[in-house]
Amino acid sequence: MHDEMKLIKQAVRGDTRALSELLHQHYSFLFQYVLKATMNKSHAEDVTQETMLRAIEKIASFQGKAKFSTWLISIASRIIVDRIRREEREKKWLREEQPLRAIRYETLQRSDEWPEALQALGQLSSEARIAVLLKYYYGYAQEEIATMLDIPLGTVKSRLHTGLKQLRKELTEHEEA
Amino acid sequence: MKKHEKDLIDQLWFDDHMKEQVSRFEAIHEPHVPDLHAFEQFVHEHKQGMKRKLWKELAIFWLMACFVFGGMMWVMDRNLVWFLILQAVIAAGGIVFVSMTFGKGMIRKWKS
Repeated sequence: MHDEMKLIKQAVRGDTRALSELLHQHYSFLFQYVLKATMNKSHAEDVTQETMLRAIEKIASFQGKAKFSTWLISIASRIIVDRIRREEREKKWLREEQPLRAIRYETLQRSDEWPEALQALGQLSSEARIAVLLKYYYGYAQEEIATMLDIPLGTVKSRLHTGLKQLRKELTEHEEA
Repeated sequence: MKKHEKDLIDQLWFDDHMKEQVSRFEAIHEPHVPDLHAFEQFVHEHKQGMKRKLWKELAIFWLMACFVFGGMMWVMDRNLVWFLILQAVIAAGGIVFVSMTFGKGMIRKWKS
């Protein structure tokens, strides 16, 4: 932690090596967050790269109030939401169903299982999925999520409620079947 | 039911039904992390690109500034009344732009 603070200070002052080391250390964490948030491997690769580019551009304004990983998640989440808005006009099936099939196929090839929990998570809207992951998987408070995504607290609560309700419904239906 | 209790129940439900599978998914899709040298090159190249972009934008800014300043000087030389009208219109436009840009932000901040 102390080392990270030192690296952050150097990176903010413009040290290329310190920033490279920070991005190197957080690459895996960032990619895995984005992959879960998008459930789309090619999007995850693009968003991870775009997040790193934005981090390079904005590092001078990083104040160190939050952890570096939180800052990266915050940038990545906003990029994902922006992409969703851009793609909203296009057909949802093409945008969401096909990548979910692709990631399911890849997961099955590597582990022989695709649990219903992942299917349910993949069927959530990206906005609800991001809120659910940040709250229940990463343990952020609702207020922190609102700040990270730059949305009102009420919207976070609503997305969490909708997301968890849908997950419960999907998993209950599966258990009953 | 109190809010805190509901949060706890929701968290427990997620831990019981989702967490393990999501963690396993994460482990399966562990990415290949390029070495530190590749990151250094990536950061260096992007910083160079940013510098080039900044200089380009600065050059365009100065060019535009010279053009506008020259134009205003020309108008002032030709007709002082038109110069004052133009100044007033530009000032009003600036005020409207600033209030629209920052006004939205203030409302948003106030709401949240």
